[in-house]
Amino acid sequence: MKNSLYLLILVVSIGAYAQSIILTTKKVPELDREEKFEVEMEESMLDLSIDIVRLKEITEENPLLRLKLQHEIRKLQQIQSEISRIEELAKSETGAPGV
Amino acid sequence: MNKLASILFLFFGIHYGIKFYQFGDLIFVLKTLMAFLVSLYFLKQVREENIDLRPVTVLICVMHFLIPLAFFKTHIASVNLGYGTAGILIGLIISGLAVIDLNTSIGLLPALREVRTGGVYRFIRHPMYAGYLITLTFFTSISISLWNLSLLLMFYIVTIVRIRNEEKVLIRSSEYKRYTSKVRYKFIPGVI
Repeated sequence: MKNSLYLLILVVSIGAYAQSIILTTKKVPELDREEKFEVEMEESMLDLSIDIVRLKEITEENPLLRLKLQHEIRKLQQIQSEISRIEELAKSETGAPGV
Repeated sequence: MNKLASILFLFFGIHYGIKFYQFGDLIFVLKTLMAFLVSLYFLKQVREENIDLRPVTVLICVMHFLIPLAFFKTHIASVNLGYGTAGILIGLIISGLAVIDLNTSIGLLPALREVRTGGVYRFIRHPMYAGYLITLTFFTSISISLWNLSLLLMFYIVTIVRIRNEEKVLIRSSEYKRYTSKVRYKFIPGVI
């Protein structure tokens, strides 16, 4: 009984280590995608900053458009807070509680 | 008291089981297994004397129980390879083997229970705590944050105090006295 439990713990541990290696190996191509995404993001941000200047000029002349824009920004903020909440949930604690 | 602890660890076992179902991470299988074993041993426990119920001892035990649960993961999966995962698993294996060896002598508060000297207890006197320290040290090394580092430091202090409290009670037994003269080291064989 005791030896079977020893064995079970060792087998599961080896499995967990193998799983972490497999998962990490799978992640490598994703990193390239992430880097590519970062470059694209930087370019878009540059475009966006130019657009924002233009948008500011337009909204100063048109208060209705400004209100509509503010509404859209609030919606975006809600989405952002939802993303943060999900990220918090994904974090998990470690270690078994101390005995 | 033991029944309450048993229910608590049963709850932890279910909690880790759900986490395994959600994330598919095999490390949770290991934690589930350990939590269920601890729960079973608490339920089967029969004899304990001279329980140390001093408020300071209770506080130290509660802190030692809760601190590991407050650590937070800051690393992403891609750095969770190699020494970090290996260290965490080695710590969990040592604690797991210690749980099996300690069997029904397991307890939250220091007390005189049957002295266990087999298995990993042949090499060090506190393998379960040594395992926890290894796991949390490696976890913090790959998830460095001020929060985790402070918790780790606190956990080291609490562990040392807890061991001191435990040994004060255990030394009353002649069997444990013999054991301490045979196994001189608490954490690392030949070092400390």
